[in-house]
Amino acid sequence: MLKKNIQKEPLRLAVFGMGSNMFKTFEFAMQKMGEGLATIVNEDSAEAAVFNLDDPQAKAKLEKYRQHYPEHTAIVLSVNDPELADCIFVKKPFTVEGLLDAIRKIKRKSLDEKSRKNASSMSAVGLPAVRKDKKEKDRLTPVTPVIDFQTEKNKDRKFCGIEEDVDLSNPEARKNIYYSLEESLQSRLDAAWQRARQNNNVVIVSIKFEDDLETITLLPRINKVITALDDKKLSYLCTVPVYCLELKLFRQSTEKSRELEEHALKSQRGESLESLFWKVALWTSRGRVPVGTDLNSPMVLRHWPNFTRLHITPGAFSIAALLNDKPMSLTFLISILSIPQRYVFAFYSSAQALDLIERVEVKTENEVNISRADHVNPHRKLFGRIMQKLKRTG
Amino acid sequence: MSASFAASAEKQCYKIIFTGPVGAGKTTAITSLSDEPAVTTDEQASDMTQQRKQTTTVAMDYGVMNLGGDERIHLYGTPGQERFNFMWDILVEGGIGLILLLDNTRSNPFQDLQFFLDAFNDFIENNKVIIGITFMDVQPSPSLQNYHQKLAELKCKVPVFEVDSREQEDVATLVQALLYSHDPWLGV
Repeated sequence: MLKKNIQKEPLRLAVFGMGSNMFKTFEFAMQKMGEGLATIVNEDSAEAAVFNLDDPQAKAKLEKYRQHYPEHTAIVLSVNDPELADCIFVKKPFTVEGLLDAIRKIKRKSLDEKSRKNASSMSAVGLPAVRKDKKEKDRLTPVTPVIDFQTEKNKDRKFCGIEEDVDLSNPEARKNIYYSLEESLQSRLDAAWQRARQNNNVVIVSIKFEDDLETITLLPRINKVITALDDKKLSYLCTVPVYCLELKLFRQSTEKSRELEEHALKSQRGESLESLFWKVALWTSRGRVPVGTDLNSPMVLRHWPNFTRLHITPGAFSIAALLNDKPMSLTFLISILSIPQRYVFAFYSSAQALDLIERVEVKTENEVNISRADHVNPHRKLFGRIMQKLKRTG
Repeated sequence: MSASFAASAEKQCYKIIFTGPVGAGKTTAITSLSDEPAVTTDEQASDMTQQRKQTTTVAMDYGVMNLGGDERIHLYGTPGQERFNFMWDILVEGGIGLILLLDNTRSNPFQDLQFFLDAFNDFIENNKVIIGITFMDVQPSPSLQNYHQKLAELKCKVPVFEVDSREQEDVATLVQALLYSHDPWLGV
């Protein structure tokens, strides 16, 4: 029933980069020959967009559109294939049938996503019904909560922010969960690290902010970072837009690099690159995800982060265990774990910074097969008590 | 045997097993978690082991975590030397998981990795294993990334962490990872 209704509903399309003549032709074609597949609406209420990419402004508009609506698919009309990922290319001069094929593809994708959302919300809705049974309730919840999210809230606000959950299906509300990675110190440090690794030589990043000048020395061969910046100051710099900072990179010669590495090893100075980048990503993200993150596409965690040497955010063990085991999307992960979104987003952003996230193509059925109720471990009470014990002694 | 005694006996059989080669830090790890002085069966090393440490565990290590009431988790360390591996099958019975500690300063830690994964293969198939790499501060290579690559070659998906077995927090993190591998919904 749901499937049929969705199929019948016309796709709401926004149109960009078309002059008035082209737009009228396009509108006429959709009305007369579009088989009711799509309707043209303004950007705010659209589910997808069509871009005439040969318009000089269109590329910039497309980029902006994809930042604001990372989950929307765009149809690009152009004489040459721009080879853009996640866009459907229709070659100009286009035929109505070619255009309708592209719209059908988007509708199929949208249908898959809506079915998946529906299935996962059904499983989430199903949980309270299960909880009515006391025995079942005992089975589903730990005897003593190991993670008290209220207590954790204040403790980890610097790393995970304080944002309350938002309605992820609401485009306006969803804007709050994104941050611009491009405008952050994190992106510049990452670029500096890439450069250091290319030549295996040391790169020093100098950061001038207001009257302070600080440096971060990246030593790629020994995987270390040296800085005099303390966590308080560095975390603050992570919140400052990068254009407010005066950043310079100084690439060191091979000779100088070896000298600095030797000195770092002898003096046992510096922290691991992973540890610094993990923290920087958490401070930058503060419980959000980079603009462009697709919340609905499945991903896996390549391997568990090195938790003995990294800051562990609330829920990190649960997220790592699930995401390393089976591919799933962020929205699905949030729904099955029932933890605040910001903890999942913080983990994702820091894991992404260490290149631990891999997007995968899987059938959506794999996701909906996992639910909390299916994974009731017979030893949960025992494990809960061990966790309590570790917390007390730790 | 009365029902309550049977239940109590059953309660007492939960174990976490620590394994790994000679000198990887099993005794130290158990000592750092145990509520009671760990029982070790260390003897003066008289063979090749002497090159790595003065004493070595010849039977097993034993420690205990008291969880309250009469509930306890037993921590068992396998003897490091291979000639005692006949004991391993007995030790893992009733184990809720395996913590494999590997010494990064040994000549071929990957060989150790493969050896122990093979040796405990039956147990691992039905249980969870967590790997802790010790002495990475002394010998940073192979890196954790190298271990992950090796495990991928072996088609093994196992969490790997850098560990200082003297640090209680490090060892506790291994145990937490073990528990969450069993039950990701633990505590949420």
